[in-house]
Amino acid sequence: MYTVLVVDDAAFMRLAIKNVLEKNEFKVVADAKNGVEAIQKYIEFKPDIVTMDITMPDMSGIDALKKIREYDPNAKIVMVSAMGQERMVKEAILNGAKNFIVKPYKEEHIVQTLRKVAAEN
Amino acid sequence: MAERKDDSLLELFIFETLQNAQQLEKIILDTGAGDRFSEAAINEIFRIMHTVKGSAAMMSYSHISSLAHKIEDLFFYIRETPDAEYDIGTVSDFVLSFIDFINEEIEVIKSDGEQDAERAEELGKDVEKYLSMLKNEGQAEGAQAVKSAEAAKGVPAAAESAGYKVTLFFEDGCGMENIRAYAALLEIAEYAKIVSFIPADIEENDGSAEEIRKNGFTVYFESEASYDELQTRFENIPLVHEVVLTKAENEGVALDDTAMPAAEPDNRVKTEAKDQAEANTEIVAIPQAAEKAASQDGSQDSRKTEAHQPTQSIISVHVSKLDKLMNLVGELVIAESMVVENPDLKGMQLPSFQREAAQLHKIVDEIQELVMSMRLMPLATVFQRTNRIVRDMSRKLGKQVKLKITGEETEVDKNIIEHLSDPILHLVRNCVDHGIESREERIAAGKPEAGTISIEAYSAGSYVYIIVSDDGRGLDKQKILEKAMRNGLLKKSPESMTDKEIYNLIFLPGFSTSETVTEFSGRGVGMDVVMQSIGTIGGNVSVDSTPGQGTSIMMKIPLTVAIIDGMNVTVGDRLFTIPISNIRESFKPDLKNVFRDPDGREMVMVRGECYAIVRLHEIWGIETSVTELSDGILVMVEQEERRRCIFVDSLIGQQQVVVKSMPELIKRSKLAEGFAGCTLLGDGSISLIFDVSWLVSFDI
Repeated sequence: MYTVLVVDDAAFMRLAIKNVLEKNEFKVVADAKNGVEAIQKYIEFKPDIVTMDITMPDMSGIDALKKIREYDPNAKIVMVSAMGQERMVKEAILNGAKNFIVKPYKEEHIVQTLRKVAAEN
Repeated sequence: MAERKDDSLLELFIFETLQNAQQLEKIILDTGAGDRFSEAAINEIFRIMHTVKGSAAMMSYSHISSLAHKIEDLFFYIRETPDAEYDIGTVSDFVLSFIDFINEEIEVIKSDGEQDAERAEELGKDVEKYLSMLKNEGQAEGAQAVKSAEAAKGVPAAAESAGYKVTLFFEDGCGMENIRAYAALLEIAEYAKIVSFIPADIEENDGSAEEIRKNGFTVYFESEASYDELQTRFENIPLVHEVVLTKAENEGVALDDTAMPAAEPDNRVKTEAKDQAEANTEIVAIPQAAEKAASQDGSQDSRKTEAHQPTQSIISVHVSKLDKLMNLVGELVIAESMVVENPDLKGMQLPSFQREAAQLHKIVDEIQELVMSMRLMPLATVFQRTNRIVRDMSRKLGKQVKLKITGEETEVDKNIIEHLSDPILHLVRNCVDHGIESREERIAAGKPEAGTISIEAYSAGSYVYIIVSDDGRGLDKQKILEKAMRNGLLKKSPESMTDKEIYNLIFLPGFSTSETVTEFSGRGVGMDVVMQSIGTIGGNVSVDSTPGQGTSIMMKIPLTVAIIDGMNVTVGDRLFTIPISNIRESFKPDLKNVFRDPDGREMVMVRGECYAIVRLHEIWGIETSVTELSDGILVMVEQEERRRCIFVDSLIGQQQVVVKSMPELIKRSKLAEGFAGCTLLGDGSISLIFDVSWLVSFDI
């Protein structure tokens, strides 16, 4: 059972991701609706994996990614992006994001991605 | 995901999308007259479009998602091209049409109807056309340069002689295959020396994703790791669905030079064209080089939206849960009085029980108040929509109208809000259409050119007052009278009517029909509908007007409808409840003042005014020993300034009652006429709650 922090400004997406994950071996221990919250929640819950939306108010997913990786260089963060965000995904990866999924995603894709990322050392 | 739209997800989608649409509208309307969007507005619109796009795509509403995507593109361009010469009116219209489209589609989605993909496509095409026009104007040269650069690149000569060759195929539909390839490349670079890869333009050309989908992503590299180890590593890359790894024949050929054939043209692109997409085209197969690009991207992305969402400790709860809670609290209130006033306890001395009962009562009261407050919503949601109406209508009618809103933070019950929205919009529409005069007329009358409509809300006691007023021409008494007479609505001679009574005629059903909109210069279009909706939530409407100076319409609305203060009365062995808010007074009639009018109706005179008496036991054929007025009591009730005295046996007392609607079966029959609902009293008996508007208006 892996613990997950779900970060997205849309409650809809948070629920959608949570629904998928909790049907599998993941437990969503916390969620956050912007980058600032994401950092707080990461520190508080120390999740195994973070799913991170990119476009959010207050602090973007990429900034949050950078901050979290500063705090914990081993943080496993998977970006949740949408078509058209290629540049940002690239930037996220250069800044240590483990991988990414593209909305609209297939359930098995998100599960597989998180599974493989979680299994990494 | 898409096949199985589970309900809570769909509801959340609808809720959030509507909220986003509302916010969009607010941004557009706030932007107002300027000729450019502020940076914050652009970012915010961009973000909202992005969210809507993502959510809609998840729910498989592809037409909404693709339209949002196109508008997102437009704002992306506007954001990245500070000197773009866009017309704010046109762009605003796109966004507003999008909002309308969303609102309508959500209705369709709710009712499981046919979705209007065609309209989305049309609007999408318009947006695309406009965007390409903007682009052509702005950077014909830049775009050209990019194209030629791309053409120049082509597929690099593959270096067949590398240590290994691997071709990765990604899962179907995983998206952004080129970026996936790029991520894989970075990973491979950690343990191997990359020689070259195909396609080579994965970074700068998102079109390469298509090629990777078809042919996979091929990398030539040198590594000391064993074949098996490499195979496992590749298989562990997320969303890699097939790995074809082969050991190349000629190992160790130095290929560094050919490794980056794309580098040159790319750099050229960067210097020649400042196309938005190219801002990031730093070349790289290897991370160090890419760091630079990243920091560039970073500065661009870290521009935060100014709209601060304060970190708030708020959770959203489904309304049905609140409804249920409200119901349960109602039951609790009843259960409490059933226990405390239990007949078994009659006559017993129970001081300690009484003390605890008082404590219980206090707590129940508090819970009730809390639950009621949880259901309150600010009127802002309704008021904000009027902005749009005023904007649209004044544009269409060529009038200048200012809208002043005060007290939008005033809160009322969620159920009530739903009933308020239509009447308020209707009143505002009337104000713009009929109330405010044309510019010329206003100038001639010595008024400011721009008319003002104000919407004001405040709460007092357990009521909320909402006043919609304008500084227009006011109501025309003469025309109202003529019209009422024509439609047979006059019950009194015009001479004996007060101004207020005349104005109130506009609320009568049948006073106006839509065909009279044009010929009737005053107001009154569908005012009976306004009256009716406000009536259903227990409120009432009154109107005041001064010729030449304007009209104001006041709505008085209870904070909540679920629990009311009621007066319990008996007729024979039946129990009835009269809402306290409708009671003027109750009194023992002096028989001297009781008489019959020429039609034989029983009347009572109170302080010089005559009121009809309603004998409840006669209407419903209830057997009672109290048939003489002197034995019972008269309760004067009032609704919309009409009063009658109802005759009951006795008053039992005042208490808060929980309004339950009548069973559906009874509601459908005539039996329910005259009742607004029913309630359970402390002793478990059922009491019917009067519909006072019926009591004061039915034919005696």
